[in-house]
Amino acid sequence: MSQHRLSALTVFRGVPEADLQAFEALCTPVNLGVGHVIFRTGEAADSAMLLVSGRLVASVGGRELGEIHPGELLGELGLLGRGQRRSADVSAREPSFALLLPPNPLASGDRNLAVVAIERHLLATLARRIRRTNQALSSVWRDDGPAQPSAAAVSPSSPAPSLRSRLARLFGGA
Amino acid sequence: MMATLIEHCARLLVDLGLNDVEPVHLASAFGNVAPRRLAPGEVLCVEGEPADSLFLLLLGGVRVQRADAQGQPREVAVLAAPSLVGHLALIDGSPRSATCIAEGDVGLIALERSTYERLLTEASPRAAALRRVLMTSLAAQLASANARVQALAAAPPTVEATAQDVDELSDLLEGLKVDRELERAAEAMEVVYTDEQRRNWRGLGAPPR
Repeated sequence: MSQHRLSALTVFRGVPEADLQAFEALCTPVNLGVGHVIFRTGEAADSAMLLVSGRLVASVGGRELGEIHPGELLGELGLLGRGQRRSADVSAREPSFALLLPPNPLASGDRNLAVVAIERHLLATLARRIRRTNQALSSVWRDDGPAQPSAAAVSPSSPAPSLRSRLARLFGGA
Repeated sequence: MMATLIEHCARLLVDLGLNDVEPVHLASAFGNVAPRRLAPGEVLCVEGEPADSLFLLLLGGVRVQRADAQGQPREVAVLAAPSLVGHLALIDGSPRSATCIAEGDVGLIALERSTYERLLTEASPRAAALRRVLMTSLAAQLASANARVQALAAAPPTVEATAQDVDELSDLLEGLKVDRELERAAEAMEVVYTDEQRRNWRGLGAPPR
């Protein structure tokens, strides 16, 4: 693994070569042949991986969810000790090279700018997922009855009547 | 805010399970900022507005509300000190994702965007401590939001339909209702034949009365 490949990743833009080398020394290099299964659904998510080159594919029950490209992290919640399980199968679509991150890579975030870059990447990934989950929640709320009582005023007449209220109007009852 | 900032930070780190982060390092990330107080009911931040700071809650709590599709506020969490508040919008540069309202007397420290951005790229113990707390808080927040979605998905099925389904169903039901009313009215009607109809009766048996 030559250093210029790590420095070519967007996530490491501007990181000094010495920090990239020190970061790589902490990791375990992994070469993946086509079809090699990296993670399986339901396994303990206790490690994370950074794809450096090639292409991976994530799927659940044989249904493809999407591709993973160089510079993307896999299993990053494992870094934060959430004790979760893998939510998808991940396998190599092309011959790929990845770095298996050590159990506590963030411990050197106080001195290594490559780790700082990984941390920034993690923050952005987590924020994006929270926004997406919040959007999913909002759409579930759309036809899910009245809001919880709260300090702000709740309008008694909704501009977009729910299915429940339309049916109530037709059949009577609450 | 009787306890020192380091004590508040120590409690937050224990809550987040970050045993390898030194409280003094986290405290120094907030070190030069004076604490603020909020009265009960005072609004800390408003959903949809631009964000210029995050907050370390030292005393009291905040109610976190988000508007649903009809614009009605829904309480999504009540955060108690010590915890981070308002960090999501600072991290992804989006508007505030929720409205936060003081629950009781609140004490907090604000970290301005310029300081946050400097700490985001710094390789120092205080910056690393802040990033670890931010990542762990976000991971907990994500786990909680995912659990809420899963709970809703697992709830007994209510009726799921699109607006178009509702309209079509409504029209169909209105039509059936009209048909049923016509039927009932016909049953209640008394049939009266005229004398001419009786005279012209060509049927078998007795003519109608």
